[in-house]
Amino acid sequence: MMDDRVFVELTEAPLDAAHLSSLVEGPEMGAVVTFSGNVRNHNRGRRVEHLEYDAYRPMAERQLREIAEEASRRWECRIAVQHRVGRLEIGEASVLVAAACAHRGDAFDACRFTIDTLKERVPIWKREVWEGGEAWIEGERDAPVNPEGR
Amino acid sequence: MVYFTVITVRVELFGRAATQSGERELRLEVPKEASLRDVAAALVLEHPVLGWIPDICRPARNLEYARWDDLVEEGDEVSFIPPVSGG
Repeated sequence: MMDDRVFVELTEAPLDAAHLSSLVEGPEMGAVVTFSGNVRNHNRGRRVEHLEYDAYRPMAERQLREIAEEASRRWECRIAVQHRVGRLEIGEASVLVAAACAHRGDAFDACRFTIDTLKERVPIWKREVWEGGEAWIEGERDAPVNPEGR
Repeated sequence: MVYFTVITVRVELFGRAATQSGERELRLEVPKEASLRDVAAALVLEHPVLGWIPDICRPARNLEYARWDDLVEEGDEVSFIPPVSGG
């Protein structure tokens, strides 16, 4: 169990949902909701081979902490968030959120708020690699990886 | 003769901006009282391939989102954030 109300981390290492949950659990926490975002083998009709995540790390960690602190205040809960960077294979977890509250309604809401807000504003990008091509994903759009626009 | 006081800011690049420019960090000299918009213009001057930055990015200063009109100070850490795709 952590002393702080929030824990956030960007890491190259594989994620472990049970470990993250254990950080937020506690005797007063009657509900723990854990969300895992996993790498999908398809996106907009393409067969994805793998992903590469890049981040503006210090800002991403700062923004993640602010989001987790806001969720922790609003729903009186403990929040832990981890996001991977680097190469990820299909099926691996790219992000985990664990929210622990006294009751389940708050835990679901806090978890949902945290992952939704992360996806809006934390400076992390995925580069999608498929057979015969690759692109940075910016919001919902493809952006070229190379200066030549390929 | 007009004298400009020049300040130096650090610009952080990643994602598309890093792979297209081949750099992850650079230092830019800009006039004192330059805005984040001016820093982006100086960056595009140095790396024309990043010409898309002012059109689609949000500026950030010292790890927080900022406004294009915000002024920079000596030693600031600046970045330009395209729409994100984490999660």
